[in-house]
Order: sequence, then C-alpha cells, then structure tokens
Amino acid sequence: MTPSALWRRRTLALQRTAWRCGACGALSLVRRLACRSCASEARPAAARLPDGGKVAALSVGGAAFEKLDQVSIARVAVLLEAPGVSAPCLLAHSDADLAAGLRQAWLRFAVRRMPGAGADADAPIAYTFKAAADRPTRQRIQSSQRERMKRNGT
Amino acid sequence: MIRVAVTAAACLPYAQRWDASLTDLAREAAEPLLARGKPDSLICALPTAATVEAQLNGAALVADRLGLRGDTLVLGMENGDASGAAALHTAFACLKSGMAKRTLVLGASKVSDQSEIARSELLDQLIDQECERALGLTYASVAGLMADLYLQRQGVASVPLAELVADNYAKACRGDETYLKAALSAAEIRRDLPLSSPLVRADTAPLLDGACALLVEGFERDDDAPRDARIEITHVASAIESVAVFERRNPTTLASLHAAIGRILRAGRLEFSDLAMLLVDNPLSLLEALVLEGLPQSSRAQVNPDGGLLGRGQVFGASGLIQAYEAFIQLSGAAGARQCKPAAAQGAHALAIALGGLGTQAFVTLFRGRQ
Repeated sequence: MTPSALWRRRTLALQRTAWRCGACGALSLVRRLACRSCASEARPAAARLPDGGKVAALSVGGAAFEKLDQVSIARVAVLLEAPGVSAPCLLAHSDADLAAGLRQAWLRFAVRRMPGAGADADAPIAYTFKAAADRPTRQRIQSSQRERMKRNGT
Repeated sequence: MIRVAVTAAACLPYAQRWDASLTDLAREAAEPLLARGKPDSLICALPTAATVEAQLNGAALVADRLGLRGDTLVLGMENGDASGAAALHTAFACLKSGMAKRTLVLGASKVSDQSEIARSELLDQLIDQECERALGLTYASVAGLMADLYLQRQGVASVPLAELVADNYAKACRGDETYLKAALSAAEIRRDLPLSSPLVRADTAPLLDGACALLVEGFERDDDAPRDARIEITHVASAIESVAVFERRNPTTLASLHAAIGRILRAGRLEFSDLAMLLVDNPLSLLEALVLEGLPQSSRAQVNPDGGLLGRGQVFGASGLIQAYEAFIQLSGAAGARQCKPAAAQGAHALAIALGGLGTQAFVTLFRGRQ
C-alpha cells in the first residue's frame, strides 16, 4: 500500500469515520449515493463509529492459506455489532489467545498495527482499528480458562 | 426475434500448466472451435491477465494469437471471478441486438506461476479494498465470519458444509474431470487444515490453470438455425449486492440472487420443478449452501453433476463459461459417466448460477436443450 493510499484511508482506519444516512440513521463504512439500508438518497453525514460493540461472529485464521509462510500467530477476525452498524475487523494480537471466550463479549475499537505491514522494508508501516478486550473482560476470560485447565488437570 | 444457440464448446482439463502461458491456454481452447469458421466477435474473460501476468489489453492479445483481424469486434470483461458469466451475458446481448452473428466467448486463467499465498491474494482482491481490506481483512477472514454467522443462524456446527463438499467430491469423482485422486468423506473433510474457522481448506476450490471457449450464434427461425445448435440460451438475469459483505442488509442470504432466479423463471414461463439440472457456482462451500437455501427444496433438478468448482477446481474468471460448457454437454446427452438423465431429454432446461466475490454479483442463465 502506498503512502498516499494509507493517507486516504486514515479517516476510516485511524479516526473511525463512517457515514450516517440522513434518512434512517444507519452507519456505513463507505460513502454511497444511496443508503444501503433504506435506499434513501439523502446526503450522508460523516459520523464516528461507536467506541466498540458486541462480538456477533468470530473466525480464527488457520494455516491453510495465510500461514504457509509459517507465521505462527493465529489471525482472528471479529464482527462487532453496535447500534446502526456491523463492523468487521481483526482482533488485537494481544487478545488472540482469548478468542474462544470472546463470543458476545463487548470489545472496544483500538488503533493497532496492520498485519503484514513492514514485511517489505520499503513499505510504509500501516495502522488500522482492531477490536480489543478491556482489562475486566480479559481477566474474566483468563480466569475461566485457568479454571477449565484446573478441572481438566492440564 | 433473434434466438441464441451454443453451437460448440471446449474446455481444457484444469491443471498446473507450467508449460503454457495464458495465451497458449486460450489458443488451445479456441482452436477446435475456429475450425467451424471465423467468428465476427470475440469476448474474453481474462481477469488474471492484468494482476498475474501484468498484461493489459488481454482480449486484443488473444485475438492476435487466434489470427482474428479486420472488423472483428473484440471485448474484454473484468468482473472478477464472475468475468466468464459476464462475457456470456454480453455475447447474448450482442447477438440478440444483431450487433454480432457469431461470437467466440473465451475465459482463461493462468495462476500456477504464483505461490499459493499469491493465489490467495488474488482472492483478496475480490473484497472491498476501501473498507474490508483497509481494516486488515482477507477474503478468507470475511468468508469465515460469514460462515460463523450462517452456522449460528442454522444452530449447527460445520456439519452441513462438510457434507456439501463431500457430495461435490463424490460427483466429481464419478465424472472424469477432477483434480481429486479420490473422494473424501465429510469426516475426512472436517479434519482438513483450518482456513478461517469454521471453514477448512476443502471449503474452497483450488485455483488452477485452464481455459474454456464457447461458440455462440444468433438465428431467427428453426430452419435457419446453425449447424449443431444443440442448446439455446433462452433468458439471462443478474443481481448485485454490496461488495462489502457486512454492509449488506443480511450478509447470510442472497436475496437479490433469488429474486433474479424468480424473474428468469417467470420470463421462461417455468416452475422451479421444471428444471432438469442446476449449476451452482461454488468457489466456497458456504456460497453453494446460501444459494440452495433460498430455492424450493422439492425439486427434481440435479445440482452440479460435475461437482462444481469444489470438485473440479477453479479457473478464476472462467467458471460461468464452464457452467455453459457443462450445460452444453449435459443437455445434448454427451456428458458420459456424469450424465444427468433428465437433462438429456428433448427440451430439458438447465439453470446456471454464476457468482462473483462473496455473493456480490450473480449471473443467472437459462439453457434449453434442442436435440
């Protein structure tokens, strides 16, 4: 990705700027002439995405496609649902081990480094928003993981 | 009224063709068809030409290799992995309007020069670069989220998708055009390498080299029908959704596709139960499941007797033409071991559904046998 492309994408990726329909209020990640939800052609207004949302879907990237280069860390994608919007994004790397316990959990959006960025020495380092668990959520899942391991004797 | 017939079709075996370039593949597929006479138009679907071979104007290059000169109309279609179906529908429109009389429609893809990671990046180009890719997502991760939502809605684990893949493998192995050495069972498929949970690698069709060519001709009356007009394309319809999956009203239904199927059947004055065969594009098992879910269940139509893309492999951008090739051999009773018996009856109908991206575009084509 070129620096100018990254610069163009900063409003969504870094500032979480979406577009709110003037008629029904639905949020869209890209600007359209007609609302995806109500088909209204009312001019959309720039609006910030909510601070986070509930995990409606979760997918753990495996070794078949993305990791033939032996990258060892699972890449987790989540779909966060908040009023008026469903936002797919990656899960923050620090929470990847907790993925199994994150269904229906509330996660916040946080700016993190894009995967793969910097692999090419000349490529600019890119950032985007990802979903991250707050400390209480992380502690709750870690403690339930510990209890499960204790029960299983592992 | 001008009618449109497919008079000849050729499809190369899908493989890793290290020895052949994109134009070699296109030439090999088109050569037997050109023996019937020069077409007045060529419509090409070569979506990998620009991205894999860094070759723009691929249609003109193919026309040059086929020896087409002078006043031949040459068009190139780029609709991602649905380019072949888009080319077929464009040929239909050209013939119906009288703009062309005999059209060669050609789809080819050359991917084996690339590593598997680079091939997967080809699929990543099908998702919305401005919102999905900008957030670090890939084709596989968006498909995984879709599949997770779908299975939650169904209230089941991955069972129906694995069984659907196994069914396609079994059909492909009954025929003789597959990359598979043996048909795997659903249990074996569930043990495959994870792709993006709940999907495993077997839920996607491997990308292979290949080419498919069709000769499509216009005519007005039965007595002036071209020689070997074995099947007709009677109606076409299309549908479009947002490229970004989660910007759709409902990401786990293909409502506009099912509306297009309803339109085409009404135009053809057919009921769904009248269809002898259904060809469903399945680069991803989930997409086939979503297509079938919205269709009437009480149908005698056999689905994908060739195993579809999951069973045969994917020639990126040519799948809509390969469906037309399958309709051509099935409706003319020449499909050999994988012949669908109802399709061989005189006047039988087949419906082909070609998909682009993760259900973004759909091209629906109704074929009728003429034997």
